[in-house]
Amino acid sequence: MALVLFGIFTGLLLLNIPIAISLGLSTILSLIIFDFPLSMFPQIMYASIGKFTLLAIPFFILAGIIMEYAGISKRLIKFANVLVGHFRGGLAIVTVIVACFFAAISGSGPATVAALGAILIPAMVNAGYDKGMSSALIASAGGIGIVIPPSIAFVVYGVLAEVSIGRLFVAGIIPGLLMGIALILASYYVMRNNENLITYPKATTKEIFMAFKDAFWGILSPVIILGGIYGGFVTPTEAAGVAVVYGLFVGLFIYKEIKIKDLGELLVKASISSATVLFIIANASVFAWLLTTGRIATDMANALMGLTSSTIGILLIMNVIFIIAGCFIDAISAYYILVPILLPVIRTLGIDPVVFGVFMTVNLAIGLATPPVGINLYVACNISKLSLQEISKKVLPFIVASIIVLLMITFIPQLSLWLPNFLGIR
Amino acid sequence: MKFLNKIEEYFLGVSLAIMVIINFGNVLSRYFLRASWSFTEEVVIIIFVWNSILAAAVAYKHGAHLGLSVLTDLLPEKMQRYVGILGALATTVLMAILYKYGMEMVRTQMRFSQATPVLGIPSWIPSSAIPIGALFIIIRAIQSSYIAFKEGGK
Amino acid sequence: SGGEGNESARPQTLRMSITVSENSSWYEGATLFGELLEERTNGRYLVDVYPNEQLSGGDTVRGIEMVQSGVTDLDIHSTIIWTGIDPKFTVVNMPWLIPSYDEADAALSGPGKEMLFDLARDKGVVPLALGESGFRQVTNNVRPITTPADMNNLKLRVPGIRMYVDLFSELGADPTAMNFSEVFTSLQMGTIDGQENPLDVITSARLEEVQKYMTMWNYSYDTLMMTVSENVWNSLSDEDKVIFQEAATEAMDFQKQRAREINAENLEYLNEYMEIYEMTAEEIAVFREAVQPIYDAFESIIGLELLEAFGYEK
Ligand code: NA
Ligand code: NA
Repeated sequence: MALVLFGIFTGLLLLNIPIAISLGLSTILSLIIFDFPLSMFPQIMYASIGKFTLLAIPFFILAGIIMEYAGISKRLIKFANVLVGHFRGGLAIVTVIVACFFAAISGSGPATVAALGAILIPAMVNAGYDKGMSSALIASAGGIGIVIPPSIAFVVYGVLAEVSIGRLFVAGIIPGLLMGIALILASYYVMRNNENLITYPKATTKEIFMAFKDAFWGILSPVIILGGIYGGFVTPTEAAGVAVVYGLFVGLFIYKEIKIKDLGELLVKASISSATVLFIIANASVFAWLLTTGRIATDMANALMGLTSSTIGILLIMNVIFIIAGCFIDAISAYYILVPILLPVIRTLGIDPVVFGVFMTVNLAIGLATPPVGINLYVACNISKLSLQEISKKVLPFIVASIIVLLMITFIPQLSLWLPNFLGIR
Repeated sequence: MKFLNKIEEYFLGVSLAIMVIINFGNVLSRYFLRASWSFTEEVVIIIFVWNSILAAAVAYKHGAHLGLSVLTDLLPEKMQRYVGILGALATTVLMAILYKYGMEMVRTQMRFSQATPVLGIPSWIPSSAIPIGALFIIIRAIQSSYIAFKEGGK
Repeated sequence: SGGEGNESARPQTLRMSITVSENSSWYEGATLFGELLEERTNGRYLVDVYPNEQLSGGDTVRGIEMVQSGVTDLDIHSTIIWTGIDPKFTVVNMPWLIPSYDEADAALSGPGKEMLFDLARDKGVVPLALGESGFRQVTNNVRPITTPADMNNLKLRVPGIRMYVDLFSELGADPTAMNFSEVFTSLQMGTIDGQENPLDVITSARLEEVQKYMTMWNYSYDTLMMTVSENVWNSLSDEDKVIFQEAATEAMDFQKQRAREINAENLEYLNEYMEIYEMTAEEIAVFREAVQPIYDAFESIIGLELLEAFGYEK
């Protein structure tokens, strides 16, 4: 059954059939071939979209579009340029730093890409960066969104594996920052021969101050969102809605670059962008249902785990499993399928389930940016209007850099455990 | 079609706006009136599902659903036009199946007069988003591939 | 397929969906059911248990619907989830209607049990046996709760079900039906003050890390129901129906006993991290009095006869 399912999926994909449809149709055809009931199809479709945690996706996409229309983006970029524009490749650093910052606001990968992409992709292109590379960098950096707390992924893992969510959150901080550093290094590697990068003359203090003043309302937005969450005013999902309202407020009344009549266009645009992501998530859930119900995931995992009995060997094989999973299904589906299968193995090996949670989350964060099914890539494509393969080619160095961090996390549990232990968080 | 376009766009815009308003209103209400709107999750999710599935249909018109054209790019232009139809065909098959079983789900919920837990809204109202959305997706997929075919593929 | 003496037939594997993880009394009960079934049908029937509502993408109400439509063969769901199918099921959860284990055992072996089963049959599934999710207790970060006045303005997360929302509003709290995935962070950051759940949920979600006070007030009982799809049931021989029935009853009795053991262990564990207050019968009586309007409002939804079957006295 596994062969039929993956075979049909690959075939449909190569015929340039939309990825969502390829996922759904390969599942339904397999169900028909193996005489499974089909009436689960609409139920899984509904259940997978009708999830409260997914609301952050349309909200942050809308917030991103609003910040662009409101003129917040261009002012933020100008400010960033004044600060680091005289460094070669400064904007790539800015991108990763802002991504880490945003990761501390948003709990989801695609939401992070949506919030940043609309601002930073055009900015990087203007500064002479390759468009594909800029989009790929942001898609990869978006994965940090689920590693640095708050994180929907950790909450789901924590509930499934029954480990402390507070401890998981703190355990994710250092690995998340390491991913950021790795991405910066990778962008320097990619940019090393780029002659077109614009380096600006160093700004004067006055210019810096002026740019700061101009961008003030934009700089304030993460402060408001973070303050809202950490001050106990809003939940992470509500924060996404607050970002929208704040962006509108600034756009309508302060910068006055949004007109009331633009609102309809903004809302329709955001709905469509968000729906392409959700349509894939819905169909990936149907695919995931068959992986679970047909015991495909269990059989494949057991077969792979049978290859070795050493702890390191098993961890490396798990890396392979997660990365393969990340190529086909979204992170949350992966948790539902894989945690119950793999956790008993982890317990037998005596691996700390918190380390495993970080390890799995980093894996799936990478999966968000791996083709063919990489939700972050889609959001980035949507924003940059590039095709999936154009971005896919450029994303490779970033994936390699992230995998290096992943291996570090695999072999050095202290990278995850040191901070929570140091802070005394159980 | 023009009429349909307008209706669709109004629906997408208004529904997303309502989602934001309810979400933000809940925050304000909790702080200033010390009263949470307990219905928010239920209502917002119903609107969210309707918005998403109909927007997925409109996305066809904008060519926003991504595929991999690595292989098909190698084909001669004439062939590419025909391959383009395959996407609409696959979509139609999948969505027709979704429509059929979606209607079955809706009928079951009607038969058992199932309702949502907080507001008691009949469950078929949110659920019919699935079959009706499937229908819209079929229309849009066929329409967009027809236009693309006439324009000589892409 | 498969009657008596048809042992060469291919064994039929049934899929069972449960809401919680494999470290739960539910899973133990479900597994025992599978073992008993396999043994007593000479391996003609096997059961695969899928935890965490895997079969319906994490959606609990869909988990029941999938048994209704026959995609899933068996399930264990609590009456709270069943409320999403028919609000009458909330009868079991009504405030302080069933406030102790003794009363629970009495109520659920009396006429109420058959009435619940009839409700389930009306919804197109075949009920087999009842188990126990347990009593719901309240935790918060503001003060120990001992009187209705302590509830005043507490921002509490409650299940997204009308009875609970109305109940806590009646008590003067500010109930929010926030999604459970946001509860931990919201308690930690102070977006909400407290929540209510059975002890095993509080323990498995590690809420004791972010909560100071817990009040043991047994305010809402929650029962579990194991059901089988009509498709499967109608395909069974009369002998097999008896086997299914008996295996389910034994398995769920075992589940209930395990649930109580685990509950006691959890209480001992939670006691190390939170200040726990055990409410007295007198204090409970005050609360029960205060929530009478909820009974008046829900009488028309649930029906007086059903309420009375669970010991309600008007
Ligand atoms: Na995050
Ligand atoms: Na991927």
